[in-house]
Amino acid sequence: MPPSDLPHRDALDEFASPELRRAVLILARAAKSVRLYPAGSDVRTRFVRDLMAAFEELFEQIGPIRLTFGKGQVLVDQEVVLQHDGRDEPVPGRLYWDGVRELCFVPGLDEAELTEFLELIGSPSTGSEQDDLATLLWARRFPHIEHVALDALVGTDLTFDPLSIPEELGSPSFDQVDVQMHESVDPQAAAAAGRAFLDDLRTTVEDSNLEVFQVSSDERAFLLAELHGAEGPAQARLELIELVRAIVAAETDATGLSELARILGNGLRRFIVEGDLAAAREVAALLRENAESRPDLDAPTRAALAAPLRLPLEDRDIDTLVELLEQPSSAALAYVAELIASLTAESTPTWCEVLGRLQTPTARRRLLEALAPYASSRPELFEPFLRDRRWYLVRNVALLLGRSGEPRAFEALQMVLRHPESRVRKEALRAISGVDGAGAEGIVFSTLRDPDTSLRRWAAHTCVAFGGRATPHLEAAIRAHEFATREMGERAAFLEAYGRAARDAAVPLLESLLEPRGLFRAKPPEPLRAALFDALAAAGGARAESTLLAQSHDRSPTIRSAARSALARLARETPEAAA
Amino acid sequence: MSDPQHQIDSAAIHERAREWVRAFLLAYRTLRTHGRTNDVGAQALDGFVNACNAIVLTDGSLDIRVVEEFLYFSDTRLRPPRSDAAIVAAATRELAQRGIGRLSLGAVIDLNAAATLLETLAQDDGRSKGALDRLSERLQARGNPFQLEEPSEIASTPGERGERSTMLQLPVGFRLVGVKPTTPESASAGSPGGGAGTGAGAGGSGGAGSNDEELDAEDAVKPRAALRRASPKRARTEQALSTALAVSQVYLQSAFAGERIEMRHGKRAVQSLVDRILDDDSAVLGLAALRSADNYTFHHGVNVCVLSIALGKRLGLPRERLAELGVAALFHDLGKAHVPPEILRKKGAFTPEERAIVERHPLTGARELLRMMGLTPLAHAALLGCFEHHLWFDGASGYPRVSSGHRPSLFGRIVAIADCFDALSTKRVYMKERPPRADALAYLLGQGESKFDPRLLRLFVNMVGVYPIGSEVQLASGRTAIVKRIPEDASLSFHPIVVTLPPGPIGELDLSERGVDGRYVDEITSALPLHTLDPMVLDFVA
Repeated sequence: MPPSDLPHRDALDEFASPELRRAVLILARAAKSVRLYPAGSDVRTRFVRDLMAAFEELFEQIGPIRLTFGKGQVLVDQEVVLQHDGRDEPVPGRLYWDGVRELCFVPGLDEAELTEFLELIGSPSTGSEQDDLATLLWARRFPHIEHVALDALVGTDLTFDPLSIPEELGSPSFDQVDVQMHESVDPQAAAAAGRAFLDDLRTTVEDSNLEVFQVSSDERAFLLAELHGAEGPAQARLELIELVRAIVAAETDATGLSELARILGNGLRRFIVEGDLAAAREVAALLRENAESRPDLDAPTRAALAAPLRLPLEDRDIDTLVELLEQPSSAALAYVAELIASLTAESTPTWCEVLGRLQTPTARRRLLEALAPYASSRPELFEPFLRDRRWYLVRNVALLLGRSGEPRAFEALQMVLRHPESRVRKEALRAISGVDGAGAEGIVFSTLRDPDTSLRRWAAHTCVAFGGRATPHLEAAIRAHEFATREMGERAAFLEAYGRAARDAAVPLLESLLEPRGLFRAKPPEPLRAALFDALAAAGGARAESTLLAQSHDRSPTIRSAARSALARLARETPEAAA
Repeated sequence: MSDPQHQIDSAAIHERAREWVRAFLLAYRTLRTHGRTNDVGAQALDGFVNACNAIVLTDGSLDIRVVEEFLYFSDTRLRPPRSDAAIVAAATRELAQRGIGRLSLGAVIDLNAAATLLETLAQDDGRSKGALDRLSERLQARGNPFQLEEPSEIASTPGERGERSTMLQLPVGFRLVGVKPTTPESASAGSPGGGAGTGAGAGGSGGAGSNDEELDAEDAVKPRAALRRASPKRARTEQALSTALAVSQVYLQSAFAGERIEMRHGKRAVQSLVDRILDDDSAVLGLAALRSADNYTFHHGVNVCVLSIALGKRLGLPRERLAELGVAALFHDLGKAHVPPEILRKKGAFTPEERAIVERHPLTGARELLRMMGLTPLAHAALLGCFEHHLWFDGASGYPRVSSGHRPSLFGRIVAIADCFDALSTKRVYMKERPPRADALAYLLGQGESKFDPRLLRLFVNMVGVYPIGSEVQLASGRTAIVKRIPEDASLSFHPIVVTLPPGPIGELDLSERGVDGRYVDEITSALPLHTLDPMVLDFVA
């Protein structure tokens, strides 16, 4: 807008100044309302309408409205009309800090354009280079709202002292570097060829149809299609990483590669925090393939390239990642396994920390599956988390180590058996039974005498895996005097475990327990008899079957039913016996 | 010498002299790169005027002499502290290389007078003989109050040594050569640069008056009368170019010093250029080409940016994509800041080792960009220009060496063409003048189809013309001209619109026009080396 279009100073003094102050105040509030209230809300609508009305009044009186933005100030013709220091406020805070120095609203502005403008300046900043308001305003190109960015005011904000130019850059031979680097092919021959071509063209150009310097619509479309390859920001990111892959591949200098590794490490962290695990996976894969597969690199350079794969995330980044993974149908969750696989085992501590903060079973399960390979290859990286104060994390880590079957984890898991939380002890016990360690059996057998009933039950359950070696321990527990005092569930678990472990050898003892006892030859309680039937079924064999057949004619319908279901189970589990 | 008063005087002289030297050099360099329309240029010019006038008002006159490698302020040899030594040496060099032994001034001056002196100095680097005569003539023709003399005349000036105290009180002890008071009338009438390259502000006030607003046929015949204030459109283009130039300078400088770069400035500078190019690409191309005649280093980045955006426009890229392309072009040479100074300064051919070092600049530039911008969308665009601008279209040649699967992107290919064209349009060390721009184009066309994308190259020629915009050409009529605009009709590629240069009237001439006999009114017979142009010509070109 030419200066002559500016509101005249006198006009401002006489009329517009208070009106302008009011309009600017409404502008600031309206922009804030966009941030606070959802689209279509009455408050927002009212602010926009008030602002539109105020602007229209001013348009009529003074024409275009030009506002200048200073630090915490809105000015009209060098007069401060609004003072507000909040940097996060849309007006003037964000406008100023995002490089907007002037706004000019011109007649013709309507409510729709104004609303769109307010939504733009009222939106919260992400701090990205891409979304500063000066750029967004430029990209949006409002027909009735002009802006001036600070860069157009070179000399005020962007100071430059030519005297400080390094001598080399002002050297008259600097340009010769470019000339030499371009004239790699015989320059004279190339220029002569070009001149001959032009001379030839000059003589024929007006006789031909002159397509010589044109591109066809097909060619143009083909060229433009290259730019439309990237569908959305995620795809664009992958293309960027592909370009960086070429850059890293071309770099042979150790210092350069170390610098690139650092940059990529930052990128990896950023992508993870932003929830783009697909991009993060690509960055990790890029680093890993260079760290592991380039024969031209020395050990320190490889180490530098591998360093980001340890994924040293800060505490708040881990919180962000957890939030992302816990979102319903999280896209991040779909890529977490691939990302973990692209990293190195040294990232385990970070992921264990994530595991410790996850609340959603689905997310925990996915993470546990992804971490399982590292538990096998590097169990020692998990061990510190067996001492974590969060029992549920300890339990999950124990589970991972147990699944790994890695003997190196035995000692650490043994320690967890003393954990105050029974669920942890239980998991540790199961884990220990899965570990192929010399002391694993002894631990499980001794746990049959643990004071904790649930742990004893788990121990009994786990014993089965050791077969005949578990028989004496189970038998001893069953014959023990206090066995009769234990709750029925535990007794049932022990009896069944005994049946499974001892097979045929278990039948005599089980039969003896079915016999009537005491002065009045009272039969054992029905629940115990039912448990014994199950144990016999688990033991299998002809003698057990015969015993169960006999019991199936008992007078008690409950016992008959229990015996028959035990027989059916026996038939299922040992079909040859049934045949 | 032990006289305390002398010591005080000497300190004061040194202080004023250093102020003047600093202001002179700052204004000279700033105007050379920015033009006086720019705020930075105007500010520097203002400082120079103040420094000159302060001395004239204090001492009665300004008298700067160059004796061998030393600078004398009146009769006092400047002995600058270490911190100012480089500045004083640079100012001495600027004067000495033009054969100036003495620069004097007897009255206060205005902005126009100062700007005319500095612009005149900038137009002639003194490498060809007779620079002092040419400069003196130009200043005289413009009624400029500054006087220039050869060293020999000064050496014979009576009383020049050992009379410091007298000098301070009686400046007439020196021969004040050609002291000429400046009046508003003389200043405005005698400053052809008043409108050229200025928008509002720095000069062109006072006598410019309403007569400057219009340009009639008679004005076209009289260059000086043709002065007028630049159009708002031209001023906006100048502003956009100046901003981009300032940003380019700051970036290169920051990269050199290993400092962080604020990318938003570059992005916004490019956005302004995009809007100007979308508005009128020929004007921006012409202005960019002609402004850069004297300083390749910084203009190169901006020129490549302008050429790339204009080519993108021809291709049909949307506005936002043009801005990304501009960013790609603006940063393409960032890695040069990491090439060792001794190689940058080398005038001869590179050894294979040196060449290998320079060949790393796309890589170091890409790394620098990644360091500053991270893996962001903006970095993506910038990386394409920086990393790929020396890769060949075939993907197999050029540098840095890339894996076989990597082919340069569209942005990379566009920047490669623009970069090569601008680089080869520059003056070689062994040349006295810039080579014809058409030669650079011929070189591109002579490369075959492996180096540059043939489709983009065709479009490029279509855009800049067979005789590229900004080229100086010889006409069949014997006149010389600058190519201003390329006709839309490709059959008229050899018949662009030109601006005829002095001697003779300055004006626009459409070479596609034919006379009654059906023959063209005039024709280009050859391309000429590009001379440094009078800024006035810019008014016609852009």
